[in-house]
Amino acid sequence: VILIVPLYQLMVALGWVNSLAALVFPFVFNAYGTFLIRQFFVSIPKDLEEAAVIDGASRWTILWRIFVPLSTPAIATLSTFMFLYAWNSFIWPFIVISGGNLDNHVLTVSLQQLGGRAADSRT
Amino acid sequence: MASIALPSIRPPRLLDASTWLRAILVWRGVHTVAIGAGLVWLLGAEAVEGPARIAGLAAAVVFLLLDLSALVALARRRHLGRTLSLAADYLTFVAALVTLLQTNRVFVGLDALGGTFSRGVPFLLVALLAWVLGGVVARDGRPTPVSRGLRWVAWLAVAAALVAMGLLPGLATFLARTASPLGLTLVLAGVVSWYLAWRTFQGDVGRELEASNRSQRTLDGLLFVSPNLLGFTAFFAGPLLFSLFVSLTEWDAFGDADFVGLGNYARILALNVQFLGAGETASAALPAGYFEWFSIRNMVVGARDVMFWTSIRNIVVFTLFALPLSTIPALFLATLLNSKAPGIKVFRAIYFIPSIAGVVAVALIWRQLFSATTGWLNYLISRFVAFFNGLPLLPELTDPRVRSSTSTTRASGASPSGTRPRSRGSSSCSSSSSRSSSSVDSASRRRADHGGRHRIQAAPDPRAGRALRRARRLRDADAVPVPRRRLRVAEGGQRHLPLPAPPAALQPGHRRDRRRGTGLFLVGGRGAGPDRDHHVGVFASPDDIERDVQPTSDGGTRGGFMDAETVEIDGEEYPCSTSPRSAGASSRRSSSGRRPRAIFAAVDDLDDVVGANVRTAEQVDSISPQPENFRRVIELQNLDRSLTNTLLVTLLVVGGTVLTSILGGYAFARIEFPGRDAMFLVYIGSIMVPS
Repeated sequence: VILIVPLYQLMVALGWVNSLAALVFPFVFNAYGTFLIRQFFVSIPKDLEEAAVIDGASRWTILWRIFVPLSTPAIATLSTFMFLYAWNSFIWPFIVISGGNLDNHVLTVSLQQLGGRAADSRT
Repeated sequence: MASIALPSIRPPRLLDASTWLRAILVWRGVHTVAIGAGLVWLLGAEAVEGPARIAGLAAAVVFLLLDLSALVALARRRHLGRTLSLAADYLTFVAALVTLLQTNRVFVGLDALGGTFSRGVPFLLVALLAWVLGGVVARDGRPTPVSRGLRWVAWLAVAAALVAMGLLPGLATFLARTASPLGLTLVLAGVVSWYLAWRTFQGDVGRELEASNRSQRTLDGLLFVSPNLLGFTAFFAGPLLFSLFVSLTEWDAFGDADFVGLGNYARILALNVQFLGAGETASAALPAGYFEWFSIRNMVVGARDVMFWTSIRNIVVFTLFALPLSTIPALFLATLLNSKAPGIKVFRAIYFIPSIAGVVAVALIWRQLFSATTGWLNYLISRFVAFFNGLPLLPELTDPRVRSSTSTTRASGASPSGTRPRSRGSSSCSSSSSRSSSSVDSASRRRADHGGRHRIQAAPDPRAGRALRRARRLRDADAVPVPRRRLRVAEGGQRHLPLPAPPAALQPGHRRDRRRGTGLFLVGGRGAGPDRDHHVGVFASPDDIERDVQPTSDGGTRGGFMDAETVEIDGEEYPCSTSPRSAGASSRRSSSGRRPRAIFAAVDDLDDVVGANVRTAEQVDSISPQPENFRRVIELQNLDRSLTNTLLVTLLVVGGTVLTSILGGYAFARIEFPGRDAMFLVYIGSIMVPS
């Protein structure tokens, strides 16, 4: 709620109002996901990492070959949460995507408008 | 999980480390001068205004600081110089990349992708299927030839999906747009700064500066956390700080902001407690500017911003109730979901389905259930309350008689005039505003359009005031008083006819207006006609009678919807006020294509008529599945496009979040670099910000 006004102004400055970009990029970088993944990574034994370092693996390799395969549950959890969030988000799309711009509506906004419209239409 | 095999790009290391360091020193000097020139130009330029100016100035200052400190540190051969220089070049690279994407309209190009996304969806489904099958086929996580083949199929399907979505034309457009002076400059700046950063990042440069493990870790950590951190700063921390700044100002989002310090907070938080003396009112006791928030006995608490404190109280109450009410069942359900009961997998799947149902759809359904006029839950609650208060129950909505009364046209035949009309029929005043009856005094209906509502403002009538009071009582008590009135019908001379009294007929909210989609409340009869002695139904919304019908200074009322002007009985149209009620024959459905408006009911038929009026006018012949409803709805609101848009957005958000979170989470978990814990604290704190 606190972010809506400044974020909207940012979207205006970037020219992203009424665009799907405004629904995606502001939410890709979030602290919650980082926190979740970090907590899981902390619990992975250090020995695995050390073994990989001894084998000459770089940080990048360690991350993608060891940490990511081991943390499938955390990634699945995060994916589920973010899926629910993106699928159900309503207020922000409702604000950013204007009512007439049917091409860029997401489901929640469409349903909201439908709730008002379907009652009126006869056929 | 297959590793992400990145093709290892190894550009040539141009110079040896010490030469490179000297080159970098020179480059930093050039960079500083360039940035300084840019800053001077920006300060002088009037054309760049608003947020762009602020962002530009901030960026220039940051770069200048980075450059200067890097210069000093590099000249002293400190490793810090390498870190700062790297940061400057890396940020230049990111800025060039983002600006290129922005000026080439790649971000906004997502809309075009939304248009073609549906073509790729089948391929994506194939990819998902192949991937899942590959996982199933692989034995104990060991890939078999079949599972490898399936993986390939999945990747190919993804590629096919991208092509189907128009990747190639998109790339062509991108390249064409890049071939402009600005685009080429940005590409050049991006490539050069990327190479500078990459070369400086190489180990030999670090060894030349005798980098400690800690310094190297700092570089690694910052690199890993940077995608997340930059986005977080741009889309979260920046706006948050801006919000904080705005909270210290008096600003209406346009024009200039006046700095007021903590004044806004002081006003919101201000509370005042007073003890009332005898006969003293709260508003008199409280100092000016304070309004009553709540009072206990003679103590009254006032606030300057009552809304704020009320919302605080509400959120506390809500949390206190919602937390245990949601947590305790959730614990049981979690245990249940975790058990190994037969069929638990199916149950899990079913249990998750409501999460996919859009919140808006769910909200709409609840709104229907709680609707004041037609909601099931509301109906049950009101019956429950009425039962406990010993009030007459609401009419039985499922009473079979209700249907018969709505669907049959009653022509009970004219009873001899003068006899008491046992009119079972509800006489309807179906009006059309264009053909309003001439018997209604034109002066008494000055039409006004309030918010799109067709409304007739009537001259004050004392009886309407009484009706309003009764309406409020009805609404509050949920009871049905049954006044019997004798009204004089002008044409009938002085005969007094026992009319079914209009206001008694309808209960609060039991008039459903299909055009507005809300219930209407029959506030009462209102005098109309030349001698103001004939009743016309006056309606108001059930929720705000007070708003729709306002009392006037001379004791009457004004407002309300008074569009019941004519009634059609047996094919003949009568002005409402002169309807021959003694005939006792009417049908509210006799006039097809027109909405019945005022509906009067005889006391004996109360249940039937009220029941009939909460239904739509169409007669239900049979209930059968109507699959074309889906098609209608999809066409009405472009729902298919909405669905693919949602899928696209969801896919990108999930993918992007997972990627940046993995990088950032790894840095926070395993790379110790200075400032990491403080940064992490900020991250955790940001989760607390209500969003």
